Amino acid sequence: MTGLTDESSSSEIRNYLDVRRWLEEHHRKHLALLDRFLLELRRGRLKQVTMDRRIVIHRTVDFLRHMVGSTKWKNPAQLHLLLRGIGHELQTAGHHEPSIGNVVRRIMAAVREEANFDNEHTSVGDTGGRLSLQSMLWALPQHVKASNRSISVMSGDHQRQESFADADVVGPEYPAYYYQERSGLKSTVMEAMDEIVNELEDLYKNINEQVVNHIHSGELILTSGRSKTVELFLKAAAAKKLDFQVIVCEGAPGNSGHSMAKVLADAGLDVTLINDSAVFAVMARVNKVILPAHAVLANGSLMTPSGGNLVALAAKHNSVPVVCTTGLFKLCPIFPHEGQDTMNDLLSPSSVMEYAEAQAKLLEDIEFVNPLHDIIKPEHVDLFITNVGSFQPSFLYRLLAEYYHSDDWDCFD
Amino acid sequence: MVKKGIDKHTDNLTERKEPLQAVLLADDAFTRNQFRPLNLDQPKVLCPLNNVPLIDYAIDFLASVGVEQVLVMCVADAVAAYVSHQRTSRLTVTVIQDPSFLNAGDALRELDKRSIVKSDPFLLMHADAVMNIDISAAMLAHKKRHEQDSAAIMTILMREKGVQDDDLVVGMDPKQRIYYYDQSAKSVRVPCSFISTPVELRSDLVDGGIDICSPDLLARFSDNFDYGDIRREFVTNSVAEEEEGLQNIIYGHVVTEGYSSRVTDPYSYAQTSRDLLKRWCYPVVPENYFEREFYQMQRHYLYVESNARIARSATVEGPGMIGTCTIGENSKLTRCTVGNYCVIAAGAVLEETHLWSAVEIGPGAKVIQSIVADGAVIQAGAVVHSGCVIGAGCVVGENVVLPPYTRLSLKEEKEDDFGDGWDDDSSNDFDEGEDRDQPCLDTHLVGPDGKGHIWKPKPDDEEYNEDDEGYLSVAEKLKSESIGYDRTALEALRSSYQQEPSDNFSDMGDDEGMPDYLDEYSGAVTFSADAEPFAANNNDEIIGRQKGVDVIRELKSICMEYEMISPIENLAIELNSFKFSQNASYSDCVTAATMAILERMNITQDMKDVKMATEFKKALQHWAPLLQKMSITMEEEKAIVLALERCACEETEIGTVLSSGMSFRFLLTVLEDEEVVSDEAIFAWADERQTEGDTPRGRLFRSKAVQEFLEWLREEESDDDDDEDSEEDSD
Repeated sequence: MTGLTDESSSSEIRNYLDVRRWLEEHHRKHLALLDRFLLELRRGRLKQVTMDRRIVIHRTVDFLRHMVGSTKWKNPAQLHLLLRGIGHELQTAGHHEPSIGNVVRRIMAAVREEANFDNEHTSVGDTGGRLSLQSMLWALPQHVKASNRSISVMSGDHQRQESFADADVVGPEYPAYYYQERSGLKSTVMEAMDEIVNELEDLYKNINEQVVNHIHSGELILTSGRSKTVELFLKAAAAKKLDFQVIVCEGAPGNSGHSMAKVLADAGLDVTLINDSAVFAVMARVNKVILPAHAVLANGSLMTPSGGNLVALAAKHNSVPVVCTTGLFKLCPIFPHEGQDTMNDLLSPSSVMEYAEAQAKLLEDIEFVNPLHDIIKPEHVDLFITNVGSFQPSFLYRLLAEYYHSDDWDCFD
Repeated sequence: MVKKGIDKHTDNLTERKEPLQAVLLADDAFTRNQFRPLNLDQPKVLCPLNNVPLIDYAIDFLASVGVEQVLVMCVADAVAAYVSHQRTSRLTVTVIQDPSFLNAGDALRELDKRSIVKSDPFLLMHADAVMNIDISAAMLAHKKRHEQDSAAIMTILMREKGVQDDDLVVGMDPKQRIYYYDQSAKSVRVPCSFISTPVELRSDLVDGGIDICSPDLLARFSDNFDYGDIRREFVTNSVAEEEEGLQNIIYGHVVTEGYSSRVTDPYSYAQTSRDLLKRWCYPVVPENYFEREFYQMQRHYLYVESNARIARSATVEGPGMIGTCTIGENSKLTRCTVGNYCVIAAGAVLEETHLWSAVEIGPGAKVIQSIVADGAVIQAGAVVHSGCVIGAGCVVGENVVLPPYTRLSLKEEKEDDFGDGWDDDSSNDFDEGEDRDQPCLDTHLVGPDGKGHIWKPKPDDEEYNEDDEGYLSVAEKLKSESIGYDRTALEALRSSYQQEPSDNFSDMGDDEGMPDYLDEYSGAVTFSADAEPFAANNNDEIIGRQKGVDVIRELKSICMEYEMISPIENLAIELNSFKFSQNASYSDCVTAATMAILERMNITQDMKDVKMATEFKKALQHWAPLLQKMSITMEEEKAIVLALERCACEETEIGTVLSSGMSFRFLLTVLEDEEVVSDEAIFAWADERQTEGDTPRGRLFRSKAVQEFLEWLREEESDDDDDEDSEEDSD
């Protein structure tokens, strides 16, 4: 059992905020790589490259493979801290790409699993990350903090501050066996990364296999904005010789629906493009709404490009089923505590208003708000069609437990 | 399928062999200097814009477009120190500091000397530019053009702004090659002699302050050692160059998407600050940049640092930014940016004010639409009105009321020279009874417990003496650059100014209130300013000539420096090369030469007419070959006579001597004898003068001696004619 002693502290990562220093001392090249990647994320350059979000995941996995493969960590605890530190940085810079954090969490879960593997402590108490609903609810941050507090309150204010300071700086204490070196760890982690990549390769195939269950001949399908997943899903339906119509909402002000309508029409589908305000009017005729996902949140909420909530509410009013096609890499262990502001971003108002016009004296005090996303409540979504099957929003928490370790849920904040 | 897409993407990134470089012009010397007195304390590029030094926006932008090495050109130590202490792992920053840089041209020549700019193309950027424009398309286009034509060495990035004004007028052909570039256009004249395609004149563009250049550009600057400013001198001249082969072809790249702004004066500072807060420059937004501080966005574009201490009863309204500072009870902040370590006492009122770091605002003080620099103090009850600039460390005393548009500083301009010239046209009341003996502290203004003196531009300050804004007084111009100035009034003033017909040249766009300049002109004569000789009048602009260069004077000084011992051919070569560089004519050369000859003769009052003639003859023996060589047509010969006449009519010693008595006639005789000037040229001159009124020239022409000479010359002529052809009558 090596533990963290003072002598070794310079060569080891003390906590997840320490990663930058550690990289600077030992792996300058890797730090430069990290900085470059962060800059790309911050500038949103990956966003412009393509509509396909999988590229982002590929880049992240490639990056992590490099970081994990050639840095000098010694034991699972070190690797876990390293990943957590990187994840923290990525999350801060790329907060509008929640799936990046998900990838890191999944690899962290693999580290934990490997560390726990054939350890007798595993069976006692710890269920290896697979939790029941009850234990999960009790593991939520507010409960954890409350329980901490209830202990510290006993010894007064002083102790309470200390416990907060601990939570901020020291990070989670790992069980002792995390500090043992493990020969198979690297290969296991690499396998986990390969698994993520493979999953992405088969993503659309797996989603599109389910198309016959959801789209039938003669139906009228409505979608909003541009999405690669939805596009391929509809094309797959067309390939099955199903005869159906598609209505696309233009998704103002970005108007990504325009290009969506075009690619679908090019593929020979029967497409109608409408403006967003006409959604309610046409909804009565629609058989099914298919929405893309930016992220799927822990309680079953759906993040879509802005305009999605309007569609979902109209569908609810007319009792039209709303389904969402998404890869599970977009499933985030995050709750929408801030309502519509959760993980949202305000874009430049330039697509709402011309800059020159907005400078006019009369318009000076007017705010032009251009939010990137909408959050749709779980009760307004009927089904998630994912690469591992179709699920109702209320079931998503189970999937969370499969993919991530509950201790890693909010480890980047 | 996914793999393929990814490979393609990475290919694009690794394709470039030479790492992309950028040259960042990061000093006040390289740009127009309208940011004083704020940049007396620290260079403008280090001034905080929304709590981040201005230069960081530029470096961050360069990093985000994939630049791997930034060459920061600077003069000030502070810039060098700041940049080299930056975290540099995202790109390499090389500082090139030299106190001898006087302008951007110097910096580029130094780069050429060191030959460290290798990447083709490289980016040339001003550090006061803030933008989020995607330049990859422009770079591709530049590369393609440069491969086809090595003379296409520069692409200027421009943003459409959607409204017309006359800050910048650019003429471009359909391929976006620039034929005309003027930042101070009052009237537009485009040389059409060498333009074969339609040229569109646009005034709805704004220069982004970033250029895509090929390294040849640096060599061009070395070739022309007098190029200083890139835009006003290099670009303006290059695009007007007519001769094939000498041309530097410059293209523009107009983008319609994205945000672009330059911070040049307090007005644009405030504007850019607000645009950034309102997220026009997304993704360059406060909560997203530079990872140094952590700002959280609240409703109405209010960004608050997590460590800021804001009293519960304080009202803070967005768009605004609150750094790590303390804000007291019942204070009211409307659209302010507040830097770190500021202390705002209870009951203070701030409106649209920018506080830099460590500013103290006393209880009940009121500051409106002003910039308060590092460490300045506004004491209790003081009122600072709109448009003020409070320099670093200044103190505004208790209950003092500072009038609008006051600029305070602790620092002096380098040359302490306050003339009266500026005060006369100043309409501000703040300088009444100003105490000249104590330039350091204007205590009557800032109060007995205050610190600081009024800053105002020096009378000879070139920024404020340019004739291009002639319709504004200096004080008015200064106001127009301050926060809180209503520019609609300025626009009205400007357009009313332009209504007045200025000269015979075609003023475009403003005559019939034409809304835009978007007319197309082919190579027609409408605006042909064919560079014909302007013999004596050099006030007119000539295409291809640097503005403000008096060609004749320059040529004359070349002649004056010439030493008689070396062969006259050397001088001819020198004159010729200068003639080419400034698009002058042979007439200019001979005019200058004639004037130089006369000046070298040291004519004094007591010199006899005859002696003068002999001296002149002696001089001519040496100079005649030059004059003859340059006299291609009669036009040049006439120019010699005109030059002689011009000297004679000047109110100088030479002039009085020449115009009196027989001397002018003698000199004419000598010129005729030496066959420098033909009879025809003299007659042509005489014909022109027949109608001249009672001017010095007219009097000189009608003087007895000159008339006698002409008569004699005519007889001579007719005699010759009689000899040759007796049948023809003389006139």
